[in-house]
Amino acid sequence: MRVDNTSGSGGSAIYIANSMIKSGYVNTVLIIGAEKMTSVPSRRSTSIIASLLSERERKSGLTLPSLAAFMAKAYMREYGVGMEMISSVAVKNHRNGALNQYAHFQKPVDLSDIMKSKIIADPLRLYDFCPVSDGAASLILTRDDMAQSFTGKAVKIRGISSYSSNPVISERKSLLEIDCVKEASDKVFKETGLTRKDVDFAEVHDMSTILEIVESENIGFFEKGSGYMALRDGITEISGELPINPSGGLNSKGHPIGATGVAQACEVYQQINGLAGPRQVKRHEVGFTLNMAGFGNNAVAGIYEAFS
Amino acid sequence: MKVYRCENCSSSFLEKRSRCYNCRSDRLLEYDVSSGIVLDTVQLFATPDNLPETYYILRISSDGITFFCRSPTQIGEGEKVSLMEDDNSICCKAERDQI
Ligand SMILES: [Zn+2]
Repeated sequence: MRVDNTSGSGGSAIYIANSMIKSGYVNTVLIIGAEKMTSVPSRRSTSIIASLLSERERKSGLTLPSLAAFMAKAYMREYGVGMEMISSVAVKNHRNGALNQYAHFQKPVDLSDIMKSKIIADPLRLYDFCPVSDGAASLILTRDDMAQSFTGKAVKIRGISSYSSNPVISERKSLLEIDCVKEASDKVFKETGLTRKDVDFAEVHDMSTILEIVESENIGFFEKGSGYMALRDGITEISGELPINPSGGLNSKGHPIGATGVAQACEVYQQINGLAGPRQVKRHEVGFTLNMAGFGNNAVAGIYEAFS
Repeated sequence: MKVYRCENCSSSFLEKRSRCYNCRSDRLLEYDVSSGIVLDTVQLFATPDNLPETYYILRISSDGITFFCRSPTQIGEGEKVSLMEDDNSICCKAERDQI
């Protein structure tokens, strides 16, 4: 089965496979997320990615980076935050990516390098975005009673939810609220009976630096307008209270579109099993993933825990 | 350019729909907007290959609806623009340039 849900394809594939197993239709599913993006020039890939926008928004020349720029401007205006604060997400995530042998970029960057990099969509610069990457990730999903026959290190999907928003971005009420992220997250916490405080670490969809901050608020980890404070105060660092994107995230690990959601689950698998080496988070019993399609057209939120 | 409004709940839409996504009414009116006010702008330096290498995206408010349009030149927030749509583009021009 081919699952194509743009940037959310990987998360959607896991969501569908999980539903098929739970409903008893199948026993075991091999999920492969893969994308080759570097074979076309970057302006062509910008064009291909923009094709997920609604027809008339595409006609206006809108692109995903320009939407992130509008979001960043709205956030800065609303909460009095500067660009340096938003770009600090890239400093953190490149530092994490430097500890990940599977990351596209494995080199730390400092804020001055970021602030000197090329402007892509003013005020956002090159390092505020994920790179164009080739990549793949895979995992095996199976019934609970069969898990031990595959490995002694199985990880359990405690819950997984999906939600879709209005794909016409200009028709949404606010640039700072991504309905599908909020709703998918609310659903998965309700479904599992867990709270945000139960989550030990998270992998979220930082296609742009501003998205990590806004998503962390929309998921409900932090109050509206305080996501940047958590970043500033080190809460989202690997050593912090709630590490976000210990893998380096899309920003440093890369964002091969169809592979991303699966790669997030692979990172969670490694972290929960204590196999993440130098980027291992301290508390790693419960991991959260947020994979987003388009600019909030759809989101899949997952909660994972050790198999007992 | 054409936009749409629900007769029942007054929600406005950029894209044509068969039903209002807010109240599910099928009483949707098509109407024209020819000008608007700039809410915000972003200059783009990485653009799709079928468009110029740099341009501005403007967020526009007009007659109860918000949408995006393109301009080759910078137009400030609060300025009035006239809107043009053809098969391939939604563009705008500062009204000050037309006087
Ligand atoms: Zn209505």
